[in-house]
Amino acid sequence: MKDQAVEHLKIAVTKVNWFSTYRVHHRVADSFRRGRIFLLGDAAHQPTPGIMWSIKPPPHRHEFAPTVFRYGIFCIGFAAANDPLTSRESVRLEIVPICSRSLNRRQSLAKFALVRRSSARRELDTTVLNIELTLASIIQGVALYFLIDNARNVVALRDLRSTAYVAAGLCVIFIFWSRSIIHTLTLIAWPLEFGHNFFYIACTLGESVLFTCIGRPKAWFGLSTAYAAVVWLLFLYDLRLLRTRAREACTDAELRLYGAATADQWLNIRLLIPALFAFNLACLIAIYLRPVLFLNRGAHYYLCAAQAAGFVVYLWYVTRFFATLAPLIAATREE
Amino acid sequence: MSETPVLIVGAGPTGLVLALWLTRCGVAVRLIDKTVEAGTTSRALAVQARTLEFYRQLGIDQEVVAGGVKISNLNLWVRGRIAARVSLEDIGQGLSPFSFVLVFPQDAHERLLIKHLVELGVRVERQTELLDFRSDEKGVEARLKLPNGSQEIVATPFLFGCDGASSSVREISGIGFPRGTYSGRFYVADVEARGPATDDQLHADLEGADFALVFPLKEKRTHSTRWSNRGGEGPSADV
Repeated sequence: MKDQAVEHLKIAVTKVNWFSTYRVHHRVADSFRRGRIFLLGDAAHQPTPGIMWSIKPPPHRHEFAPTVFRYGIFCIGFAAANDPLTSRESVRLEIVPICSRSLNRRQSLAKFALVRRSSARRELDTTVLNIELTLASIIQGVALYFLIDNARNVVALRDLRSTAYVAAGLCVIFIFWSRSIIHTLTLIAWPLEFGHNFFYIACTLGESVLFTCIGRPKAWFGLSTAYAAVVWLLFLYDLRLLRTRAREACTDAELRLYGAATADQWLNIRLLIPALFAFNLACLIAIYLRPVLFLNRGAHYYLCAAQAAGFVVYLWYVTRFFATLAPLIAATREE
Repeated sequence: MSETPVLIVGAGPTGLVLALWLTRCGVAVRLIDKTVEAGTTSRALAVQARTLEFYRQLGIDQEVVAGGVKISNLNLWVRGRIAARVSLEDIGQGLSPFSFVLVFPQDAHERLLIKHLVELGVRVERQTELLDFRSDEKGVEARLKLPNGSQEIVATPFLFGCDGASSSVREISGIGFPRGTYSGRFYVADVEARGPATDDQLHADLEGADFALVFPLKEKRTHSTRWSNRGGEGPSADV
């Protein structure tokens, strides 16, 4: 008994009557019944270290035998408080500590025990979520104002070719707004992340400045390049938040949600945003190297149309990504 | 070939309660177990309120409560000091007549269930092993190995596998038992000990991924401690 956890309890053992070791299991039989054969207790279901056990009422009325399951150490309070109701709630609460994947993630058992978030915490989470959703919409609204302001000239001058710039600008707003909404729905919870928000507001400033450069290729692609770099940093910064959430994750739905979000984050960091950066940089260099072609003969409009097309493809990817996340987000909210 | 309305394999808490319940319902059972005697260690020791509510239907609830220790507090220790105390005395007040956390070790629990079965005339057939069985829509034919080494064929309409994690009923049926075992190891001991954590309360020490729990037991002021080493790396095997 040399473990720190035991030492700290200051126990002086005078006699050991029994000692054994065991491993944590998380197993469920494929079926509790096959014809006339029934499985009960550990034979059917072995969720956590066997410390307590309880008889559960049969899940279906036609199964006449009382089913005996074992439950783990952290069910104590929840189970005792909720069991008599045998409502869905009580079943859920008992299952919570069984997700031993948290253990697997070297998570502190202190956190493990407090997995059931309090209602006060949930209220704070909701408040923060609302703040973020409002912020995302408001600042993209401000960016849209800048775009409209600059697009007015395009319309007034009947400069049809410059609509490529307006389209690209509009796509930037669409992308930024949808990404931030997804990000908020997936990750945002109490406590409020000031760093993320300030970064985010600064990004919108960059976006607004970009919109003042409609029809000015050098400035447009220069700013786009810089903007891609900043967005890349934002993705990198958000990895931190993603890791925190993934560590706190307990339910299967949460683990899958953060798994999908992390995969998307890395795809953006490794491929998509660097590609955006490279494209804009290449355009900028091309404009500097061939000013006659790109500026005087107006080929920059084609560059901008290509940029807009790229944005549309990215936007398509974002909507697809959200379609895969949506059921997971719903599942985590149901917990 | 003999016949029985119900054959139960495994006389742990699961099999014993099932036998007791069915017997009370007027269903005759045969209860077999391959071990020589019932368990003698605490093992699964906390009993939930819902279990006691079912026991009340069987009329054995008061005996179980009297035989166990009601845990008044859960003490959470951090770095050698009690950091928090959670009162468990009335944790489910208004929800259950058994609004507390009860510690009743599995050996005493099994003894009590066996005693009640004996009163009803049901005996656990020890050193009796299920070798295999065949089943169809009409019934099950199980082959048992008896204590004297001879074999017996039992025909039964229903076979219940209450034979634990390494269930032979499950294996013979070919029912999968997926997911895995985590590499983190747990230790459990029944000890006689001294110290501030050896009162009649539940003590838990949480150190990072480690933890230790001390449960009070009734007999000879002994305690059951359970603790773990580092959290593991994930399931070591699937199936």
